[in-house]
Amino acid sequence: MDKDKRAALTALGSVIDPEVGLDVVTMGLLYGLEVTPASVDVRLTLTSQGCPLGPTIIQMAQDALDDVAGNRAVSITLDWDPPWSPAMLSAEGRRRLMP
Amino acid sequence: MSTASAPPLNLAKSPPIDLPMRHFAAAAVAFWIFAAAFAWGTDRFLDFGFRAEWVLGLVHVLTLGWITMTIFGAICQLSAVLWETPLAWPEAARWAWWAFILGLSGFVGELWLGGSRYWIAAVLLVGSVGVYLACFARTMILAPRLDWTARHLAVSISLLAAVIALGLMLAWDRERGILFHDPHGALIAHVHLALVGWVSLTIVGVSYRLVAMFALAHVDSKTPGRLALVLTLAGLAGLTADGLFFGRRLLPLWACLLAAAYAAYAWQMRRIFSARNRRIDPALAYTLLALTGGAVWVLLGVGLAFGFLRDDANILAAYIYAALVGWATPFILGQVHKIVPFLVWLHLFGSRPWTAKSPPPKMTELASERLAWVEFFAMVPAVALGTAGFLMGSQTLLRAGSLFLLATATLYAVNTGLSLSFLIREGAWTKTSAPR
Repeated sequence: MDKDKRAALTALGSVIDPEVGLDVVTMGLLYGLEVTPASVDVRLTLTSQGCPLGPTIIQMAQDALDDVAGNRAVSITLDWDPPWSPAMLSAEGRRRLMP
Repeated sequence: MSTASAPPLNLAKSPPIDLPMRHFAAAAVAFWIFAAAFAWGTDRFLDFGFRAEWVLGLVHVLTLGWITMTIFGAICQLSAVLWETPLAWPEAARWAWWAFILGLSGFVGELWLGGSRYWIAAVLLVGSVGVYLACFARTMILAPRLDWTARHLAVSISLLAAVIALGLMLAWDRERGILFHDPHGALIAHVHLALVGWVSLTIVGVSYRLVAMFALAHVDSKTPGRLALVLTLAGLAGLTADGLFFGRRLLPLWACLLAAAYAAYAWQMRRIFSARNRRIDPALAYTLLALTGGAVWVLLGVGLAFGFLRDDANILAAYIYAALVGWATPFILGQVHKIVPFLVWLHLFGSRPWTAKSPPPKMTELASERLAWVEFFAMVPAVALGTAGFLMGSQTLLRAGSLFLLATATLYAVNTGLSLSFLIREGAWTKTSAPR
């Protein structure tokens, strides 16, 4: 993984779901991350389509990526396929939620 | 250069935050008044008569002031999420809140003071409920689709209209005795339309959505839940018709249908809890307590219907207490402990720019989980001792249960006030919540 992609991933790791208390990467909400010389393209999902925190989480992700993107354009796309399920939680996330 | 694309999110605009919050605040006050009056006048509850105005007033403080007020507040907020449609006529709902408060206060006050003009306040109360129902019905009509939870709410809201209509007829006929050849059967129909049709169907529908969401549980199969809905509607329709028109001849059959419905619901909830990915917090603990209280309520109902239990005032009071305090109240307490901090957080912090160096506060910081646990452990004996006190006709047990309930209501009011104080301090009480 190159340095820029790692920086973007770290930035997304700072975006915390305030209700669950986990970041979007640990939650398994990150479906794709492409870093090119011109852009940072992110595919995110939410725990449900009607999640009221959706706009907030996406805005937080944009703000976090803006800090590390430099001159690249940041693009965040919502992806509902496949729908998120708790099976997508990382092992670390599962351990923290069910100690 | 850094640009960001706006993601397509189909979220309807929420109403101003004061709309749901004023409902939750008023409901917390009503719950405390009920608990305080219950603790103060415990002796009036044993061997009470159904015409006892004081008890009648207090029961309506609980059913309308606490339970219905909370449900109305939750629907005002959840409509945007559940029905993907903004609440229709939010200003009308705000006026209806005032009319509801005035109507309920006048109605209960007249009953407690022995006045005869309670019907004036009752008209105001009924009018306000009519406005709420119109707002909710209009919202549902405009909704692009109704999910499983929303369909439960559509049915329960319709049945609330039936509860109100029958309640009015019972009140009008109280001194006249013209409309119902079996007033006790009509009262049973009214009570069950309210407890099963309005309160329980709402709880059941909301629980499938909220409990699964809060527990991070994903359950694909809805078969037990569908079965529960069909059995509930069949049992309730039969019980209502039997109570109103057929002299209560088949009560055991309707009780069996409703008990089977509850078993199917419990089966669905067991699946949700089995699939959970979070530790048990106060909200989930309250849900488990509600499921236990609901099971006690169902068992008492079956016992009464089959004649295993005496049909006297104290056993009936235990039955109603198990439904309202054992089943509905713990469920509401659990969900509101999540909903209120969630809304406060979203409103105050949802649109601020956060960075890794200055992360947003967690929602749990907007209320005290420790206080919520203490409240929960006060609620457990309140349910158990109160139900046992009525069943055994024990003044001592009832008094102990009522004091635990008062402790619960007090701690709940403090914790709700703690969350609301963040809004008041920030001067954000009446601003509209809107995603950035």
